[in-house]
Amino acid sequence: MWDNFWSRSWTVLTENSSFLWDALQNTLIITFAGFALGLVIGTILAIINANPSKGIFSRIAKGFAWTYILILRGTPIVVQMLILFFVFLGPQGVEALNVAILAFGLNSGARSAEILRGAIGSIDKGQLEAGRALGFSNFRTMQKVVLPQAYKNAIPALGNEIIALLLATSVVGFITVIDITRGMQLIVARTFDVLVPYMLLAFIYLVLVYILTLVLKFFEKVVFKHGK
Amino acid sequence: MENNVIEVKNLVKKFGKLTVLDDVCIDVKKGEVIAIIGSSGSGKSTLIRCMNGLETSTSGDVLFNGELLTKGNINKKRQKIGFVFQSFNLFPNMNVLKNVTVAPKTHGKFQFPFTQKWKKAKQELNEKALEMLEKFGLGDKAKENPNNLSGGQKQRVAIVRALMSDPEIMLFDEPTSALDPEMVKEVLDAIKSLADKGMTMVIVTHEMKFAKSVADKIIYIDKGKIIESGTPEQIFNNPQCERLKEFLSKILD
Amino acid sequence: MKFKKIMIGVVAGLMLVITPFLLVGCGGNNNNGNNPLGLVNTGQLILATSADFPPFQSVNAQGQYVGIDIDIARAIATALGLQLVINNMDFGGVLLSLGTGQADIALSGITITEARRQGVDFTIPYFNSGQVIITHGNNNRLDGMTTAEQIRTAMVGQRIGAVAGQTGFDHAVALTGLSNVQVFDDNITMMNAIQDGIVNYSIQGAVASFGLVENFTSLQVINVALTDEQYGGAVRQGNTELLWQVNQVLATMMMDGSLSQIFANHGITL
Repeated sequence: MWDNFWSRSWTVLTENSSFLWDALQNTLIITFAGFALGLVIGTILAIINANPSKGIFSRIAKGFAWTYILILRGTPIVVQMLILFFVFLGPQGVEALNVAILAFGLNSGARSAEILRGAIGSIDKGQLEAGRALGFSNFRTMQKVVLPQAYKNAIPALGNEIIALLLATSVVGFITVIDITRGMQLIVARTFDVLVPYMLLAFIYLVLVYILTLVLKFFEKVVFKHGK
Repeated sequence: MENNVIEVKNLVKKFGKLTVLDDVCIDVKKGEVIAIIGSSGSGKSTLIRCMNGLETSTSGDVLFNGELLTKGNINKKRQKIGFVFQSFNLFPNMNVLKNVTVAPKTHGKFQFPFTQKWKKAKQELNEKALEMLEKFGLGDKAKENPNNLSGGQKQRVAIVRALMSDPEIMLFDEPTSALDPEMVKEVLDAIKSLADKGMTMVIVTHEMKFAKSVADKIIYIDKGKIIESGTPEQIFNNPQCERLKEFLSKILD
Repeated sequence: MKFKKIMIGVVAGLMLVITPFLLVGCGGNNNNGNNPLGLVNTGQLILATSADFPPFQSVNAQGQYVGIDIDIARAIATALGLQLVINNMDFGGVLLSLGTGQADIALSGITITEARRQGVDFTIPYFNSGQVIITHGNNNRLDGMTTAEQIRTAMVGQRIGAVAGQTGFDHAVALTGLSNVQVFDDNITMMNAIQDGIVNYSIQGAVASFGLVENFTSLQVINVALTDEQYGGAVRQGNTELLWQVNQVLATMMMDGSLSQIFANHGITL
């Protein structure tokens, strides 16, 4: 089965290039849009959790945040995705791709929230106090002083998150999105060759992760040199 | 009373079962400089932090210009209460100039970005900041990151940062305790220059000579209670209580 | 002493990991004297099928496999003196399983196509079918259409559902272009999707379509055949001995009427 492996690989790539290119776009769109959405959600949740107020609104918000994180980290992303598409959003006519982005965004949001919570917690309390002493509200202090530092500290962990997300998108085929994994499955069904397409698939993921790692390293260098 | 910038009335602060402040009463008149002295754990840090609400009282009130600190918008009141921390707490994600201008910029009148008015307001603010930094010997450090400064320089930036909002009173929580000895003088000189200009101040400090030279009133606190208070001459030359005498003998030799 | 323990642990771990790879090599990939039919396990006929396709193969309320293909497979196994073992999987995997040593024969409402001949060997055809459209009962768009041409034109640009690996997929692509084809994992999911309004149309073999719609009463079959196709069983490519035996059995069944009887038992008159 290994005969002509490299020429067969090349054939699969070139014969299906536009199909695979579309599939790759889906993989990347879901990864980046999902991560961005997750970052926004995670920031909101982290701010809610970091608020020292004991008022009733704060308590309700914190309760909601805790429940959200529990449910989204406590069930598999596949299950969340299936429910979101087949039960709720698909029948409403929402595009499968958008449902995938939403599902991954919600799910990543829970993890990003925990990452940011740790990053915020690691920042000296004096920073928050200095902000408050200058007359900034909790929110403003967060916005101008704490969060910028927290994001910087969180870059390595967030980098891991986006890479994990890229690999996790391989299941979107369950809700009819044709990403590179589902795309390769279709090629396998057509050509009856399992070896070449799946090896190629693994290789493609590897290359994507490698490139992403390089970009993150570069990004880290820029941010930490500047000191903002 | 109208010309009391800050009034502390029967302040009690407990952390769980531990009473850190016990029925403290202080009036800070406009233009007055008060130094608070005492040994570690006496509650003096907690006291000054109660004055701008960084600690909330278990019972008793703190009044700013006659109004309860906790009533209404405390953030607005804090804009007029300058606070300098023992550990500086400068913002490492901004340069020195931004550190000192971020507060007045945020609290100032909103202008649409990149309009003439906006540019003008920004320029005026930066000029004011640079002027003040110059006065405190930091004119060339405006674009530096705070982490690159010495302790004494950092604390002077912290003082400028607190001054930029034109506060009515400045609170100093052991401003030189974290500094290497050779840098203490530059910070004390900066604080003295403020006092000479008539700024109302409360300073928690261990620097007795400084307290003697700059304060109008000295308050000695021990175990959360005000033991004795009076002018520097009274406190240093004629201490009444045993505990104060003991404290002074340990500190001053 | 501790080093020794670690080494034993490492070796044991490696063996655990490597063993599956060693076993894979021992597939039923060789017809030899002891195993003339090249079976995966001697004495067993392993059937690969996707039990989501009534009346050809499905799972009844008691959890048993039933259907036309099941009955045919049982008849073949009996005729060859083998025990029938059923391996249920997604349709996309059915034909692949023959080459990876997971099954001996595939009967799963499989349409014979030239492309598939590249990977497996087909038996003689045992059924004629055609592809039709399934849509929601409320959908009047195709009412009154009687020719394949009319339907084809109406389908251009529409979103059509298909299952990975089925010929319906290729037909859907031909009708409306790849970007409009929504790929589901299996028939049941797809029928549910049409019912819930996630997708409006699907295209599948006629008989299977009627079988599916029996369980999904809100759907309708547009009874105009768009293609003409034949179903066949499949064996591993090159397994000529088994193929010959199976074809013998099928031919006998066709001639003595037992094949028609099987179809009749499931409501189809040949």
